[in-house]
Amino acid sequence: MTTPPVFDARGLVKRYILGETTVEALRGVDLEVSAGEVLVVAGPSGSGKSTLLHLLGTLDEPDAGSLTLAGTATATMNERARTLFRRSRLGFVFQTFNLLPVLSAEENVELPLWLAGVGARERRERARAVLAEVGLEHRFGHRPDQLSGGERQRVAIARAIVHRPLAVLADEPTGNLDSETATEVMDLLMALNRSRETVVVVSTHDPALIARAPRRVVLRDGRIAADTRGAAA
Amino acid sequence: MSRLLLAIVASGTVTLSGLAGAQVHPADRALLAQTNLFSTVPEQFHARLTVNRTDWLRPLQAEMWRGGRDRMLARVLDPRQAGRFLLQMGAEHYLIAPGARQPVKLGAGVGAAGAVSFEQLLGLDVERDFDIERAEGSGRIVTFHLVARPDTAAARATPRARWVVDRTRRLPLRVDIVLADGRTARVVEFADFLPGRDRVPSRLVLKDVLRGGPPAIVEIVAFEATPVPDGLFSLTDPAGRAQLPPAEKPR
Amino acid sequence: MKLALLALRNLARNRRRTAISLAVVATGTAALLLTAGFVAFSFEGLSEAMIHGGLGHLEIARQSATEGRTATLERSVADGLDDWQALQQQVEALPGVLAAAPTLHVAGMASTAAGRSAAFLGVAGDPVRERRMGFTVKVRQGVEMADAPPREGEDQVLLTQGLAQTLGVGPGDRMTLLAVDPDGMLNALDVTVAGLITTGVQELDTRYLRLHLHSAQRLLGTASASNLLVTLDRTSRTDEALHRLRGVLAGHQPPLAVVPWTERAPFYRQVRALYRGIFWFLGSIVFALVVLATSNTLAMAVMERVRELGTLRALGTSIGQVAGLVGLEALWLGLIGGVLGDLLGAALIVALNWLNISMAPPPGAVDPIELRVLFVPEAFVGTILLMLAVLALAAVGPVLRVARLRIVEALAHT
Repeated sequence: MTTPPVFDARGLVKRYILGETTVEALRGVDLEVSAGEVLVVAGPSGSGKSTLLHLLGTLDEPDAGSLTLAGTATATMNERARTLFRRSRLGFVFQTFNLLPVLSAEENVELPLWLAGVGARERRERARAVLAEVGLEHRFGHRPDQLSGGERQRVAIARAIVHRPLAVLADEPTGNLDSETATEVMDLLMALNRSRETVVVVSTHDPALIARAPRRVVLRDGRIAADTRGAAA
Repeated sequence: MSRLLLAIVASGTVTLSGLAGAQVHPADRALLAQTNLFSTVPEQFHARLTVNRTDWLRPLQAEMWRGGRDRMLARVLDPRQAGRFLLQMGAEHYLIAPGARQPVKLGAGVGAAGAVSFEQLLGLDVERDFDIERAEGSGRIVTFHLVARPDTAAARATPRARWVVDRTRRLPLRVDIVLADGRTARVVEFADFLPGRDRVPSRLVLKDVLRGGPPAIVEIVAFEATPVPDGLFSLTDPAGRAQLPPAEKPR
Repeated sequence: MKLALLALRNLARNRRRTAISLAVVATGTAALLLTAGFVAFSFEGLSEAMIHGGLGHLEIARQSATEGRTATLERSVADGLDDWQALQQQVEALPGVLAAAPTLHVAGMASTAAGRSAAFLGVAGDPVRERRMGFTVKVRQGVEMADAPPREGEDQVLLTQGLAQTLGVGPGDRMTLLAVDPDGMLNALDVTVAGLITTGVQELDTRYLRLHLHSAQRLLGTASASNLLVTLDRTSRTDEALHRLRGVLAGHQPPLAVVPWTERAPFYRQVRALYRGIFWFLGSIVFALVVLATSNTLAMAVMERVRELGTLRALGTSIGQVAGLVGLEALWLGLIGGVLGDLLGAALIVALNWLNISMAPPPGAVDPIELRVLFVPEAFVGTILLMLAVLALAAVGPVLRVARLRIVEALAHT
């Protein structure tokens, strides 16, 4: 028996109503992502990158088309099922890091484990291990406002992987970082993908990052314009 | 329920112009005079009487003396009431009590509502204190509508009255005490008269129309026309009354 | 890490705003505590005034005399206690009883030699026992009644000032009391005015007089008393003593009633109802003010954190958990504000009592009163519970807003 793809999207359509006009953010996207893949979704602003990631992350629902997540059709999931799916199977990294400012780095990383009902001691051990993995063993007790941008994004990445999700969805994770740090973050995501076999889907319009990705999906006007694998030319 | 029906009712003063009975037939005037118990009953007498009401545990025994047209002294025959008298001088009522050095003047309402007073026994001095407003009834029963003469004590206590008489027997049947506003306050019925002394009532029925309650029945159990010493009525010297025998209950 | 702890940490983020909210809650709490303390003081003052002004804690009277009557001066002597002396001995032997004093109620007319008269309501008692019971008579002029039973012709009265004014008499003057005895017969008694008093109640001060039990018995030609008034060492023992007395006196012939003072003081009940009304009115105003002030703060706190709340939802936090977080923040505000309010209230109560402020006489009373605010333990707990309820109500809007949050929009929120 073959393992179903982690993401299997067929003809995804998403429309937004802005005032009196309707904008079609996605106009029929087909995409299949298998376990262990790293995928960069590229394209100019407004091409539908974020929308695609939101749909893949069950943060929003498509207006047409179907999406199957690890063999389960999202159309059959209610609000609670989607919440539980995100909680246990997905990790998120945002452009603005979105850490809870009142919690320390360690506590931010513990959050998904706490939601999963993991006991305090195990939470702490696992959070510290992951933080060490991302190179922040000296920053456990620091609050987000005491960390640099790159450190914050590492904390966010640690938070995204601490509960061993199937996939990490990173929406412009380097958008707020300088190019050197951005490269570090991207390397980190790829390293995690290798060590954990976690699917990583990154949306970006940074050419340097796109060039390093093993698979590149280019969106243009809500449609996939190119889907290429292997090192870029 | 107080036997004396303690009523502190302010009697409104009425000033009615003299209604000289020019329109009243002389025969009616004569009939009124003939039925005026104040005139027909001896001016000096001693009587014993009982007063009873259906809601009382036992009847009240009393004795009274009349010493003049409108002077009366009464006391309740009960050792616990020893030394207490009710004294009536015209329209004025006084309580004489051992605890009070001076006779205590009672308000008109209190005095007139007392179980033992002239009003309860003889009605009103209809000749002296009242003018006839009109007379009704051509048959045996005649009703005199009376108005108290202005500026008299009677006018304050009883501004108006209806005096109902039996023309044939020349006897009063009933008196209605009417307030200034026209409401009937009390009714005294002359139910019976002493045999042989047909002008002395022996049984009276007193009804308090305003306050309701069962009527009081007054019965004269002994009557003696006899001279009464003046000293009994003194407001200043209790010596005359002190000589009376103790107020024992009759057997 | 608990949701409650996270909520508490969130409160610390905008310290100024949280401080203002806490100040609102604490001020409201303190205001309620002061009101409750003042109301309690008024109740206690009024109840002690009524108990020691002549009601006693308990009244023993014939059952037939109490039926359908609540007022103080309505016990007919015809329905009085013939064996009050034996009852007195029996009752005074009970624990907690300071004394049992006979009183005799007499109503009638008072008149003077000058021809002035006025209706009166008289209460006669035993001055020695009443002193032992802590009954206070405020003599404004003249002297108190002699303790010893007066001899015939030496009867005395204490007149209320209004009644004395109507009759045109003062201390040393003589007057005559007229009353109806148990047989329904009028009697009269000459008395000397010993002094002028006030009952503390304006209405009563135009009609009330006091006299020695023996004088009233002489006037009414009786040896009975209308009732026995029982005073206890502590007002809080009233219920206990009531039940014990009812037990002791059960089977007495004729049947006796034991009536607690509260049932005989409609005025007290009315004042209590009035003050309660005022308290609840003030309470609702405070409630409304705190709800309005804090709901706005909570709504702002939610608005500022929309993206954060969206992130929590994205990470798999349920709607209930996110809404609970906001609700818990509100409850923390209520709890901390309530506790601070309790402390503030306690400090203000101590300060106000220390200042010894004198107040104008309350409605119907004659003398000014000294302001005191009592500590009401129930109010200290109650206000905190109330503030929790207030903040829960204030959080309804923000919580609903959070529950309706769309994740994608929340994440895009700036």
